[in-house]
Amino acid sequence: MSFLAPQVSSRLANPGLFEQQIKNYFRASNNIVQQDKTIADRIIYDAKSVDAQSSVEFFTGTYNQFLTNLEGSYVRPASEHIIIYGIAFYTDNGTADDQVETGNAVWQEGFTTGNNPIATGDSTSELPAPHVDVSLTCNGVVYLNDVWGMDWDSDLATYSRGKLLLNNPIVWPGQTQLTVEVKLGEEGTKFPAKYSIKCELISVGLI
Amino acid sequence: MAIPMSIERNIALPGVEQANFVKYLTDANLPINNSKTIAYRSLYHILRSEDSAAGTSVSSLTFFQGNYVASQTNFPGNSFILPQSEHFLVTSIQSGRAGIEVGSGATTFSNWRKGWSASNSQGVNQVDQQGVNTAQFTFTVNGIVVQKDIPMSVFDNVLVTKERGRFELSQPILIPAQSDLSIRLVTRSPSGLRIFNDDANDGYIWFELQGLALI
Repeated sequence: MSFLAPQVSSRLANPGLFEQQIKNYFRASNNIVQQDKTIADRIIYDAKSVDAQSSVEFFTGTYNQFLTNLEGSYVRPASEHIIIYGIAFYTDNGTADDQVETGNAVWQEGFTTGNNPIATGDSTSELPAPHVDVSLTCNGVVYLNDVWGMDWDSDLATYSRGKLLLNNPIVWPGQTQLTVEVKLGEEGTKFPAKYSIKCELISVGLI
Repeated sequence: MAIPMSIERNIALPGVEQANFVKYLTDANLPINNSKTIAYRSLYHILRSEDSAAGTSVSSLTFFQGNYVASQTNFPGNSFILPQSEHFLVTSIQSGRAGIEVGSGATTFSNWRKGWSASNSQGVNQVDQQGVNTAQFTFTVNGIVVQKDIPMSVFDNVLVTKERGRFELSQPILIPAQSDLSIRLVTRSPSGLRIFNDDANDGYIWFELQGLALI
């Protein structure tokens, strides 16, 4: 089956309008828009090995080109602002650090269904266990504060698995810092050995 | 996946949805602190309903009240009172269960499930959980009942979709900062709020409030 999404119908009816609206959105948020930039879907990701840690921060720290699709560093060019409207998590449970760091991770959507972030081997949970809390900070402003990892439902047999679509989009301006922190909610708990997490920012922006 | 329609509207009219949210708060006579950010927010609380060693289950629980245990909630600031000016508009509620396998010495949660219509996403209901499945909850904010005697079947978990275990509200619930709020869950079943009915697992019930907030 194939059909046009309402969004595509809207683009066909009003060519260029959405692109203009995106540029206006950036201008309204006091970000400079360079006219030579084009608008594109951006899925920006970063991954980390989290063996025996209790928390991890993405889009900061040591840059590894095998683990992120940002070019050269975690700082993006000045004019490449993006609007983040969703966040996705992937996990790898069983690949050694050195393999993950050379791009050989085996990613699975969400926190569970075999990839529970628990060191004690819980295989019965349909949701993250022990529970994780997720925070997002952009340019010093907290946009997500300890959101429950359960909101990234991982047992859905749909496109939504492992994804959280935001009620309110987040602008990540170029040349500013954004971090996503994932921390375990129960004191004393650790991620298992050979466990890695990948965070994706689902967005649209200037390239 | 195409960009969600709600985000498209937001992009087409920058700041309008945010302004509407602030106006909604202003119309409710709430003070707005301009240093706050409008953000997606989720607040949860987990409580024990079943003691496996004693073989007992409580018949009622009150969420977002009582002792603050950091590992069982993400409320900021070590209390169930939201900080000043952090108003919260609840647009959906989720509920489900978890367990701690105390019989094998575990101290951390496992066995998480979302929703209450069946024992898991692929299963059918079971008699052990009838006390919870026939329970009802009442949501109170500042002494005002905003939801009364809602059956737990609203948290359907046989769906394998985003709606699993989620109760989307027709009318959002405003929780002003520094408010007193509670969700009281009560069952008339003689089995109480039992979840596992075994000697190994302590049963826990969780509620989560989702929505927009100033943070």
